[in-house]
Amino acid sequence: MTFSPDGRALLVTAKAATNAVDVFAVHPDGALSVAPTVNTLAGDVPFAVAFDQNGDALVSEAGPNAVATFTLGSHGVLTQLAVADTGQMATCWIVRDGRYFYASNAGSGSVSGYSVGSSGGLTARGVATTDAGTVDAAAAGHGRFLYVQTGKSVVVDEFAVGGGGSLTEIGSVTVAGVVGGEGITAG
Amino acid sequence: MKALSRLAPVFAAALAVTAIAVPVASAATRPAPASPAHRPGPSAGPAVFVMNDGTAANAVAAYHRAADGRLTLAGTYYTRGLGGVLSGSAVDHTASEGSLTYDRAHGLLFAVNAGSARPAR
Repeated sequence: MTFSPDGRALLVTAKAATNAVDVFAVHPDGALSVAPTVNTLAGDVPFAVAFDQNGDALVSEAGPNAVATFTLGSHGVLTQLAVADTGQMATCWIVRDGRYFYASNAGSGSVSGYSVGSSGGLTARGVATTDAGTVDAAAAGHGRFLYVQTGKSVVVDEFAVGGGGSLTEIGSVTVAGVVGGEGITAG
Repeated sequence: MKALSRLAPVFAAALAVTAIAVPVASAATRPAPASPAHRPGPSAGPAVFVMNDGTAANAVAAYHRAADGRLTLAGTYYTRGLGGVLSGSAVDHTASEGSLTYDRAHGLLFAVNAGSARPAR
């Protein structure tokens, strides 16, 4: 689930269940609309959402293994602007890190970088290898660092974000005592 | 150390959420306390938090982030809930993004306990 930047909409990805992004209106008292606007993306398995500097939504799609950009209309209607295939497997998570966006490819052990133009166009910024089982990621340091959680060996890979959005691994830490792990955020 | 535990509504039948209080701009500095909510020292600096989704005891590991971006474990904090594993999952055990979320304005971490049938206390 992701709130729109203005807090007036809540986007829920239904993944393979309905292949839809459900958009609820958020009322001033925090209550949600009784029913969402259902944006069906047939076969796309929308998994996660991040917003860019223009208020457009980036959706990672695990069906085609792609990242797509959408405008969010006033009634919760998503209109696709662009789409880019990652060429990787199981593209599930997406996170914004300053000017760039990074999609986690769980099946490939990699992260795909993108930037977004003013009209929603996507520019690929390269693919970085992670430990196996790439899952969620967190941005930190005002766009200078990206931390990627991996579920196979429970390692968090540490990356420095370079010019043009390139990622350079600077280290890693192992989360002790578990066999998986999911959930990462930065303070 | 003051415990601050705030419970959020359950999203689904087998999903619960714990809130853990943290300083707005600091990492946890105390080792593995068996409590879901702690207020650590105020000077540890920026942090990265990682949830282990442990099915025996869900916990959040707090890492200090150095100026060069490298992480050092500062403490582990149990949520008093359970992690969950979706049937058939390989590495993506909860199939969710943002299952650990930081509320910067209030200095709270919200952690999903995917294997708990009720909110942790």
